[in-house]
Amino acid sequence: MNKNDDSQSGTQFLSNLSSYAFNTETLPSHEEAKKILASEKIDTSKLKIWVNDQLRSARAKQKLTEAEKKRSKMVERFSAIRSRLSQGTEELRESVMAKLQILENSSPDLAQVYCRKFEETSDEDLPDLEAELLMLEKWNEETEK
Amino acid sequence: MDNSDRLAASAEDIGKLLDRLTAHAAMRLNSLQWRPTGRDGVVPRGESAETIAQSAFLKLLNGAKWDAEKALSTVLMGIVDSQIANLVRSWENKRFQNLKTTSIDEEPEINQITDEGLNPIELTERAEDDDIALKILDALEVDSSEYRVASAIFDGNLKRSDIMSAAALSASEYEATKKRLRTFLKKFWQNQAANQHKESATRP
Repeated sequence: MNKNDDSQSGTQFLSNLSSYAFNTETLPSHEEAKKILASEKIDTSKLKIWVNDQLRSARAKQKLTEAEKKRSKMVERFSAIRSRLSQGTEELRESVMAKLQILENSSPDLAQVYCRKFEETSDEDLPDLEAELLMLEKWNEETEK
Repeated sequence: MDNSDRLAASAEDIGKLLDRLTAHAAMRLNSLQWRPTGRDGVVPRGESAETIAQSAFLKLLNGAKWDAEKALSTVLMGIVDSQIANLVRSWENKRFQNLKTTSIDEEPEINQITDEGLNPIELTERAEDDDIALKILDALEVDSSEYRVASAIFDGNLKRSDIMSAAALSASEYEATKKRLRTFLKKFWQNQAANQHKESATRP
C-alpha cells in the first residue's frame, strides 16, 4: 500500500484516521460531550448516581478519619493534663506531710488527728486539708508570739 | 491523603466530568470499529463506554496512581485510554492465538519470520488493513475535503496545522470535514460489518 515513501501501513492509517475523526486525543468539552452522548444514545444518570454514592461514602470516610485524628489529639492532651495533675497531687501531699511534722512538734495529739484525716482524704480534698493545716500553723505562730 | 480523600475533596464538577469521560470512551470505542466488532470483536460483550468510565472511577478509588500535579480529568482520561488499549492488546493476542490454532495444519511454518520481522499471520492482517484503507480512500469523492484530509493523514500528517495546510482547509472547514468524515466512517464500518456478517452466514 505504498503510495510514496512517507506513507504509512494500512493499520497505521486506519488508526490515525480514526483518532482524527473521533477526536480521541483530548477530553471533549461538556457541551460537546452532551451532543456525543445524545447521538450515541447514552444515558449517564445511573452512572452519576453510582459515583455520587461512592463519593458520599468516601466523604464519610474522610470525616471519620478527621474525627479520629481529633480524638487522638484530645487523648494526648488529656494524658498530658493527667500527668501534670498527678505531679501536683504529689507536691500537695509532701506539703501536707511537712505541715503535719511541724504540727507534731507543737501539738502531737492534734497532729495524730490530722494524720488520720490525711490518710482518709482523697486527692480532690487535699487542698482543703492543706488550707486547714495552714490555718493551724498560723494560729500556732500567733499564740506563740 | 489517599485517592478517595482527594476525589471527595476535588473541586471538579463530577457530573460534568462523568459526561465528558463517558463521551470520550464512546469516541474511543467508535474509533476502534475498523477492527472486527461483534461477538469476537475488540470490545467484549457487556463492555461499553459507561462500564469503562465506571471502572476508571473504581480504579481511582481503589488506589490507581494519581500524580499530585495532574487534574482529576486528566488522570481519569489516562485510565480510560489505558483500559481501551488493554482491550485492543488482549483482542490482538486472542486473535493471534486463534489464527495460529486454525492455521497450524495448513501452514506448518506459521512461526517463520519474514524480512520485515513479521510472521505470516501478521502479514495477512496487515494486508487486510491495507485493503480496508484502500477501500476507504476509494469510497471518498476525489478532491472532496474528506478525501484531502484522508490523503493528508495517509501521507503522515497528524497535527491539526499540518492537516489543514496539506488539505488546504480553513479552521471552520477543518471542523466540518472532521464531522462529515466521522459520519462517513461510521456508515462505512456498519456496511463492512454487515458484509462480514453476510459472508459468514453463507459460508458452509
